[in-house]
Amino acid sequence: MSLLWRQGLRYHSRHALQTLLTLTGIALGTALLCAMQLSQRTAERAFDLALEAVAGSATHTVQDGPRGLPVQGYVLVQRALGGRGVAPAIRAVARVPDRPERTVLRVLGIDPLADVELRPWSSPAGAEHESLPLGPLLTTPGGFVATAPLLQRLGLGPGDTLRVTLGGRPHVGTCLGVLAPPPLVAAGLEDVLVVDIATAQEWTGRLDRIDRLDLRLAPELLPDGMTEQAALAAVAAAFGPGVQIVAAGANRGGLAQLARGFRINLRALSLLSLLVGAFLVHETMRLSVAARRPSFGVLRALGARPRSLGVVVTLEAAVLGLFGSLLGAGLGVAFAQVLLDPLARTLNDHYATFALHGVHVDGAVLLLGVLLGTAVATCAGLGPALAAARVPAREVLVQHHHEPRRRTRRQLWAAVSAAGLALWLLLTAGAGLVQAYLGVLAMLTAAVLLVPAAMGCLLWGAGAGVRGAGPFVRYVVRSTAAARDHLALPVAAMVLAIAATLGLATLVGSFRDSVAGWLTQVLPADVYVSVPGGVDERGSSVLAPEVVAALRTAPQVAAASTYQRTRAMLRSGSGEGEVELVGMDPTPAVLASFPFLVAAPGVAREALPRGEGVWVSEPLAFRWQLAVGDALTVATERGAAVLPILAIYRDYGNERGEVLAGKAWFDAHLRGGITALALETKPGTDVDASLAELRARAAAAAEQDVGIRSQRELRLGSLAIFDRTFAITGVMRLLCLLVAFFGIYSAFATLQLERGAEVGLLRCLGARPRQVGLLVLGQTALLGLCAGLLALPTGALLGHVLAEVVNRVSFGWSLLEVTVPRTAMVEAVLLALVAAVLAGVQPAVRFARMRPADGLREA
Amino acid sequence: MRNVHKSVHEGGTVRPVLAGVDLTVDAGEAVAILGRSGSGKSTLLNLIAGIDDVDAGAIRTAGVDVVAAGERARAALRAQKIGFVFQSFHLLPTLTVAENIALPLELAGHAAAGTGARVAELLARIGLADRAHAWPEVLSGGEQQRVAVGRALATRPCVLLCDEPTGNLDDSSARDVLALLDELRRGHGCALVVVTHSREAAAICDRRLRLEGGVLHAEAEVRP
Repeated sequence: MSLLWRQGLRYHSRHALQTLLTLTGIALGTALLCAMQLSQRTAERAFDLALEAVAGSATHTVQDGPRGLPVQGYVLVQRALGGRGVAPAIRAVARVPDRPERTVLRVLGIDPLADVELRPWSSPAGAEHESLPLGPLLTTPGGFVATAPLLQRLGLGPGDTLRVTLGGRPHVGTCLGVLAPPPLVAAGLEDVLVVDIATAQEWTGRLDRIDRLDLRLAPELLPDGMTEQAALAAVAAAFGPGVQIVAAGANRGGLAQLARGFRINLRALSLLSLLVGAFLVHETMRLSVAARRPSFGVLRALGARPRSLGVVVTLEAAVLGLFGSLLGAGLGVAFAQVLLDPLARTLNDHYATFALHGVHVDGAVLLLGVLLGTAVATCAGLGPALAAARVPAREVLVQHHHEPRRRTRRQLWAAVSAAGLALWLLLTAGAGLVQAYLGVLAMLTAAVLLVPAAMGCLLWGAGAGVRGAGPFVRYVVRSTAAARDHLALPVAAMVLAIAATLGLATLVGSFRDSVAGWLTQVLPADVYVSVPGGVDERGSSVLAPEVVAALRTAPQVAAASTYQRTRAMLRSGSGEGEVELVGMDPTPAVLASFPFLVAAPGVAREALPRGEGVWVSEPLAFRWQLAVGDALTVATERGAAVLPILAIYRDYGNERGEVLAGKAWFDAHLRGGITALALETKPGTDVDASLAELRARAAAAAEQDVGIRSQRELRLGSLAIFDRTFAITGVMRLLCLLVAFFGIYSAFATLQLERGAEVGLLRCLGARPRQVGLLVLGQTALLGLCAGLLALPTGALLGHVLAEVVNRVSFGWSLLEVTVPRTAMVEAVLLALVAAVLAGVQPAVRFARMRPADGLREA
Repeated sequence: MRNVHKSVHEGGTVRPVLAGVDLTVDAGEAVAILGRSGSGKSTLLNLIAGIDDVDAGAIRTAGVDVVAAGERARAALRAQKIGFVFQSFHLLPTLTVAENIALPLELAGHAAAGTGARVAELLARIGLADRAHAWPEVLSGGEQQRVAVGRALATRPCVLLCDEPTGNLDDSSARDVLALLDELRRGHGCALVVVTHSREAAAICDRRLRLEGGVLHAEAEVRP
């Protein structure tokens, strides 16, 4: 190994604590990034595997939204294509009432006889599986098979029965055997009950329809002479206009689309952690270059080229980054396991129902993490490398070595420029999330660049404040102020990390307050009724008409609003897609409760029930850039219907957005029963007491599991979902704090360790060990206080930007009010103080125990 | 050196240090530069090595025009043709004694595998063969300066520049180091320029010059 390299590596091995802390910092940053990516990949993989398992080797899928396809069409297609490569499927979501609260399974109804070419694992003729109980599956009502892990989880064996509810209606399934598909398919079927299609039709109450028809239009399966185009034309003709024939793979990555904003927010947080790690590397390398200036001077005098020194320092940073990020990649797998549970809860609350049982360790993610960690560390080492390359040969003549002073004026100009750039990026972000984040980055850069000047002001103020104090206190303050140039960077790193946690607290707190306020406003009724369960793949479950009638006519009910939720294809000038559409028959109270952001003057509330237009929720309006007066085209059973937008209303309940229409218009154009009721009780009714009566009335009316909740229960339940959604942010915030703490500890501990000579002198002058310890702790506490105070405006600004720009760009939501939580502000300052004081403990103990002569020798 | 001028900036004022210095040192010749503190002796040495820049004048060291040479050429000059011994030794604390001596060889482009014999030879000549793997911090001042001399001569330089080589040493160590310097430079046949306050150090040189008022004055011929 080259001697130039060797001297560098030995410097780091001699400063093992500092090196270890730096490695830990970069490792934590990388770990967060890898963990975030791994947990998301795991979720996406589970989603895609679930799709694949259901779709099998289909090349195309025929579907028609929530209405489903008529069975007759399936028969026609079978005839047209010669009966091969055509398989129907029904998908539904089932709750398991006898198991823990959140046990939700998917039900897949198939035709085992037709599935040979598409899903060989489900067919008795399939090579992989010869024990499928074909006869019983076809003949046993409620018969199902499932993978061994699922049966084990449910504690079931062949012959056992399982109570399930679909759309609130109870059914009993019988386990007929164990499904043993190939491993990858098994991973996609981890929460699936496979039933015969007849059972699925019975359970879903749709005897004449199927959800989808999977096709495999391979030449060997098509009748002689039939091309794929001809086959597609025959399929389209069999079902008539309106059905969608989708090529396989079109739905892949659906989860990624759904969770885009959520994912980008968390990724930004993990990148911020990596940025703090980069500060650590920069600080370590800067200090190491400062300490080695005499050596570099000698090397230059001996003939070393500037470039060689620069390369050595750069590669030292790269090696630190490589080892740190390798460590971080390993740690990331463990962190991902921690993140998986809150992520799964969030996704199941909002997006889909599928199982996440273990982290899928994706080598590409880990490699990317290592590369990114190494690259960030290398970049962080470039500044110090440049400083090393600039050490002149004449440095060898200098008795006392000092780093060149930072150029304050230039930094101020850079800060102003970065702030201007941030303002421009944020104000013109529109719907560009990446631009919004670049704006945040520019804003944080400006804040970091302003830290030295702001710190100078604070320390000047502190100096003025202690003018009357004793010389020891004055010395603490003035020596800290004198070292400002050297301390600015670690303080800036600390400001950044603490501001990030304060910004997140502001975002989450403000969001929660907004949601709580919104819930109070939009829930004017006393009792809400719907079918409980996860997100049904065909839309919300319909309440039995008998239940609706029984509840509407209950003696304590004064009025009822009804909701019919379905999905429909919508189109506007700037957007197109399947959107949730709700037909609403509101009471005056419900009608008045909707919080409009923009509305057509005077007519918006009255025109909706008359079917003269629709209301659009804020997220959809933002995503499709809709305005009041724009026209929306809805694909209905009667053909396309065009409706003007009457109002845009605030809605935190559905980030994908939804459209509200009047019941009369809904019934005239779309099909769908009542999916929810909002009941207003008569004056003087004890709502909580009446819940039991209403539940009994509903149970007596029909055999359907119906959720009847008071307004208070619904509000608290919604807030609980909100808290679960942001639980993962809380975990990330904690991990971010951990990175920050390591950063602060590393930087301050290293800085203090460099002050042996000064302390030795003080000891020679008669300072007692305790006084020396107090001096060190006093200085670090002062620095911590500076960082905490500077983090307050930075964090508050960050919180506002996250809430008002990034949040809006990510989800399309605007918040009612953005406030910085006082407790978070106090926490921020305390955190900075505690971290700084803790960082001072080791140097304080060391200096207190140090012999004065040893200290002087360090000079 | 021909008509070399150099000023230094001190707290806003400019102080001339060298005011038209002429100096020629032949191969194998040893020259001592004497003078008071602050007279510009070290500056003169740094100008010869290309560590500092002249205000005016010409310098040619080991055939290289130092004034015209760029930083890269100056670095190559120092790596290949100049040996430097400093008052404060300036050994690299993170390299062992042997590695410190091998360092100039590496900087001059010698393959690491081929430097072992040369390092062993120098260690033997400076009397520290048994301390090859010791760290500089455990050596005495005299031992550290002997390592610095060994390091300076590792590449068999044409020019050996010594800046107060005995300034930080006790009398006995100083005598050892001077004897070593004299022996080694005679063995190598290199030109030697010693900046010193010490009469004893000056005594090993062929010529003795005094830097005063920015110019060099010959003192007296001394015994070779």
